[in-house]
Amino acid sequence: MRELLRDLVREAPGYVELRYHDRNTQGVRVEKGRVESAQLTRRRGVGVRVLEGATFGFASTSRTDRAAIRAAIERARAAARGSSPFRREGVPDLAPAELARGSFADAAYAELRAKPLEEKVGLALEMERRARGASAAIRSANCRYTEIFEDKVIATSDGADAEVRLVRPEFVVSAVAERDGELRRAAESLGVTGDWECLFGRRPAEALAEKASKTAVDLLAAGYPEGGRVTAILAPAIVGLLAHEAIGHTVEADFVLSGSVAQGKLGQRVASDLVTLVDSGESAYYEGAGGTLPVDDEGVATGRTVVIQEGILRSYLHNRESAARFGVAPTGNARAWEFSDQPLIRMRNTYLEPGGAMLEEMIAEVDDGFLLEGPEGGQADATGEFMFGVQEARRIRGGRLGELVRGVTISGIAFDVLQTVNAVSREFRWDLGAGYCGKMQPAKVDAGGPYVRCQVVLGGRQS
Amino acid sequence: MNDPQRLLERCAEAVDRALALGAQQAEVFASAEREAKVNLEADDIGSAISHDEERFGIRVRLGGATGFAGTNDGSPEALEEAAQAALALARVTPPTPEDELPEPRSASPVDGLFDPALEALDVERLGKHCGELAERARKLDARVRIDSGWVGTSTLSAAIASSTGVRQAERSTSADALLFGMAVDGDRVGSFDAEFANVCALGELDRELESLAPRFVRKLITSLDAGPGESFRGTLVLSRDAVAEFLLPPLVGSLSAQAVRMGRSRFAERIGESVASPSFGLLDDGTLAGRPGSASFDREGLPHRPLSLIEAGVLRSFLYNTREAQAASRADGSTGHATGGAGTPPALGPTNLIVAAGELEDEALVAEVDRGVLLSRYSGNTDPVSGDFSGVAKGSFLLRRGHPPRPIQETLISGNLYELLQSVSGVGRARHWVNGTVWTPMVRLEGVSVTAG
Repeated sequence: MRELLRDLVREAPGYVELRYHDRNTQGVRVEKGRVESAQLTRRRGVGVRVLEGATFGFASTSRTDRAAIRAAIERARAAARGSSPFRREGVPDLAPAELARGSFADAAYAELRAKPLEEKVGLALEMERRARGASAAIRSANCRYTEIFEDKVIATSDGADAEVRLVRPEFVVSAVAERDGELRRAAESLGVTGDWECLFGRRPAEALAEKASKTAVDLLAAGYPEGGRVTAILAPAIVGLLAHEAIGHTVEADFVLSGSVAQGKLGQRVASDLVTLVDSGESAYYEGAGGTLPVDDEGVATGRTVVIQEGILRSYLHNRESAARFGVAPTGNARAWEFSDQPLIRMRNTYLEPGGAMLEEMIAEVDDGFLLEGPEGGQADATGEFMFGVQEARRIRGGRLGELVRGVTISGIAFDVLQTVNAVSREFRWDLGAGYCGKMQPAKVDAGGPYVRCQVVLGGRQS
Repeated sequence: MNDPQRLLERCAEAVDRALALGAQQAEVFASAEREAKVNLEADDIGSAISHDEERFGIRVRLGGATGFAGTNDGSPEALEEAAQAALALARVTPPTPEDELPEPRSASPVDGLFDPALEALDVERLGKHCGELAERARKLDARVRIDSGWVGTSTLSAAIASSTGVRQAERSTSADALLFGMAVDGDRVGSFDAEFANVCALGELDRELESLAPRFVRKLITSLDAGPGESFRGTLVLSRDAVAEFLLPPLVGSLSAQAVRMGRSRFAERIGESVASPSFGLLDDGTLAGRPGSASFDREGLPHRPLSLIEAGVLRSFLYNTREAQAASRADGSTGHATGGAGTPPALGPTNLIVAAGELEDEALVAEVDRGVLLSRYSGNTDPVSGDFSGVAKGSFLLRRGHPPRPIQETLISGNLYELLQSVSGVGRARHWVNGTVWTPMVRLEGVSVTAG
């Protein structure tokens, strides 16, 4: 395939980008002792992007022979020509980049392929059983194991020629507890770029199953907090979500061009000097971050982009088009979910750099506040206003951890919240679990960081 | 490629092949889609897209177990490979006896799902529509920034064949348009917001494109002037968008027979009981002519039918596919609510949702509120199991009797959705379609916690 794509971009005039993508997704889901689904989905094809009449045209084909790809190139050209007259401003010449050449194959791919299917199905059955049996209050449990095998070839007419092979397994377990007709649910998840050992090496599946059940049961007895502005220590998973959702999206150059709150703020202080925020195609601190990728979908070698350095906004995230508009180098952030999707500016692994504080000291210094762990999803706005649900919120009173509370959501304006950061822990974790980013199309990303102490608005119940 | 009858023949051939490989039952669902779209990016025409694809999903039964494999390669070799993969999964999976494939039922074609004029819409005309849409929004207010959007069309052929005799095929068209962005006025940046339209015919697309930009601009500009909210316990008035996107998804999740079977539904064993105020009603109907949520058959090849879920506050039915109907020993079988495409096994979900109309004008719903929030959009979490929700009220307004609604920001709302359903204090008379598949009035609820930042 690599040779075929190389030939085809060579013979075509103008800028042509060809991306072969073969995705095999295999998964099993068990609920209440029953296999609810066991499935394998293969989707492969070639996505073609051309730049003609200063307009991008995109076409895709699930047939991967020479004639079909040539026909897709022609359809992409026709699409570009058809819409070009309605543009107000043309796409500039793409920014020069360090284009990848060679083969980038992760050994984990072959290792996970070779692992028998029975073991994967068996794991899901066993962990669901374990979660369900952890307490008499557990009414049902659910366990899902999924693995995504990715094979890609990316060739561009200006020199990218790369083959990428990697695998991303995920594991999710959840439990529903019941008492007097009241139901509470809790979930734990893992997601990595790597093999079985990478997935379960730091947190065994058994520990996740037991944790999900224990949290669901504990939440039955938890009360609701009263809302308001509070001191909070955010766990790495929530720090990662903050870095991704509330800051990361606002510095994606396409959002910046549309007028996001980060527009015009390069070089300005946007956070406390304890804050350094990075988006990277590599997995910093330890292997396996879920958004790891060596080459983006424009064929640009990915690297490490420092977005905020000690509180100062230093960079946006770019594809080749936006980099040309800003007069900077591309940062390797162009990503497409499947062959039929065109590359968009997306994050990879987004995180805050750890600091020097110990978590115990950070808690001891709080007279009245909350320790917030376990995100339940979140969203952010062009204004930087964010909202994250929190599965486990624990009171801190007089420097000590207190009772669990439930139904917690935190909110704030991201850059304002980052200005209030006054302690950053030494401990670091990748912790987005089986989470995905959604921006017109999904993307497998990861996020993480240290524990961070700051001020947020906490949504609660008013009397 | 898009001939549904030819697609059906290939499904039937693939069923025979799966049986020859050892499957005891087999079902093949296929789709062939032709899509054209022109995108908006950063206030300008972006890329133009052309996409053709066939997809096949093969479900097999072997030794009482089920396996599924999907592929987008329709060659006989690839379909055989997929059937073998599905059988391999079934071999390592414990039996699930209540998962037999359904027997066929006769289905009447739903009218108005295919429009040749929409199918003929080419990328040049889509580009023109897209450019005009953006221009219309900009002319209405220069502070509007279109981050992204599109105008697109799709022609979809779907077919299904099974070893139990199911044979269905249909062709449909759809078009959708989206505007997504924010308003920027100097240093002030408003909230993201979006406006979406989804239709089945060209005439409807033209009408939607006329009204989309004004609706979008109105939403964006409102949030520019947002001020701080207040903390209190009071009334929540749901806009039609908020009914469709905040109230209905967790509610419909709890009305799924699967959630009931799994112990995740608050409504288990409550058929015939009151679960909402008498003024609240909810119906599902996948047989409506010319609606994007309609089809002549579901993901298992069975006909849809109108289904009352909640009537005057009383729980009437859950949604069933064949698996859930078998598991619940339901004499009438599936309600025709198997959902999904060829890439996944059949799931369970609604088609078109219709909220019963009330008697109040929109203005009265708002004017009668002592202290509350008019919710335009919700950014937050709702636990469908417990019903607890907590999130930010976006693009929303503070309501105080005798004062005009005031736009607010950094305001969180929280409560329990199932308790709120029992506190419906008003339902609007005028209903509109939201996202093409929800027909709803505004709804007013009591007892929501509001927290200002």
